[in-house]
Amino acid sequence: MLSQTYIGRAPAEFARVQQLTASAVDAFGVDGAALTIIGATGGRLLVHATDALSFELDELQFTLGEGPCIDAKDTGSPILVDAMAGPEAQARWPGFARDAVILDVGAEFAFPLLSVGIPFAVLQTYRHDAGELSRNQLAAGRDLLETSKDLILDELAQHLSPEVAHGPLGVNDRTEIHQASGMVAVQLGIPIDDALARIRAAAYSGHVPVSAFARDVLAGQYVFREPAT
Amino acid sequence: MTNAIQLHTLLADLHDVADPDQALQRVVDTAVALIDCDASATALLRDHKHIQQAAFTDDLAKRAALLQLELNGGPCLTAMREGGTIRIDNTLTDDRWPSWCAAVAEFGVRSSISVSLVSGDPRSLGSLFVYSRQVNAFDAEDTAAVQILARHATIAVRRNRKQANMTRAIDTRTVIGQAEGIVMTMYDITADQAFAVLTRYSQASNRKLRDIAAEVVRARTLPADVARSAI
Repeated sequence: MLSQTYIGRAPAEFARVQQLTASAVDAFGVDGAALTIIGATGGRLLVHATDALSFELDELQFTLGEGPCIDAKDTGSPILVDAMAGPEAQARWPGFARDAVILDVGAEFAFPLLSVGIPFAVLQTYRHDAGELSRNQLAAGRDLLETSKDLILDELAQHLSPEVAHGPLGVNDRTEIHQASGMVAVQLGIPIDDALARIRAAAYSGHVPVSAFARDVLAGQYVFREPAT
Repeated sequence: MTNAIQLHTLLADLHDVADPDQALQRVVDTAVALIDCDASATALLRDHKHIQQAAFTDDLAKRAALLQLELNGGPCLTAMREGGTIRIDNTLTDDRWPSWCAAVAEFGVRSSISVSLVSGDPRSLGSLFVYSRQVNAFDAEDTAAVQILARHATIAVRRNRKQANMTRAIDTRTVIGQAEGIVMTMYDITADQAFAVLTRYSQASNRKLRDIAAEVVRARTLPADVARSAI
């Protein structure tokens, strides 16, 4: 189901991002890469993912509100997780790390792209096999990011103007989740952040991707009734 | 005028400021540190009449720069419309912008340099302005220094604005989606219809769509009068 969500939608407007994620897979010697933008108040756009699992890892971090990508954005530093199954990763992101291991992710490396000193996007990569990036891989990958970040910022900014705030963008813009949050906020008479938390929790406990769950909520196939417990 | 090392240090600093307003303030502060002048001003225009963003080192620089919009004429406006640099050595004798020169001469402005500055938005124009209370205050080297600063300012402002707009766009999309969900639920309409309602509300009240959406999300409803006319 997830692969259907993103395959066949390779938006031409983000050609450089596609190129960067593909090159990053080679440079870092990983199995998949994705580029995400995280806003100041919780908005999150998956611009492109090279494969279904990259898509799923991004969605999982959004659902749980934790993970290497979020930490890379918050700290402005690369987050290198050599052993997803190891005690450090499991303690740091209890929900995400556990699910990532179930999804056969051995290692994840997240790199913030910085402009004027602050992160504007995060490149997240994963590998099935656990283990560190080699010195050469790290150097080649960072070189790639350093040389392409200005072009990437140009391309992102071109398609993300504050005036264009409606309509699909990238491979996962989470519009349905925001709309479903508004719907649940009205139905239950609760603040929007609480509504989003209810949706995330229900999707997670039902083992359904939160975007797909939000579509069910919008279609009236899942109705929140009882107050939050 | 300063030496190359000082120039490098001053200019390198420009590129590390994340906040757009602070970045612009840094540009005018740098101008004053860079050459022997009394003050500096810079303004980015949304179009030929409206200021989008501006910074000044003193009130007189602000008045001298903004007066040009009222008069619809002056060295900064000409520099930004035609591109390039305009130096005035004596406002008492220069006859190219008589109304502006007469007005600023009254305040004590005698010499000035105006350089065009481009923000990256194709519709917007900008300029960097320095003035002195002395006649013949600026030479070719001062002019070159202001031009170099303007080039760096252009790059810094452009990157800065791009990044700020992009982050804001992500959050704007979020809040508009949430507001759509609220309106969809209240009136049992589609997302596109809800977006149209919010857009009409925005146009009718002459307020930005994201402000309207944020208000709807906070209140979890449309104001009653809006609901009557917009639905």
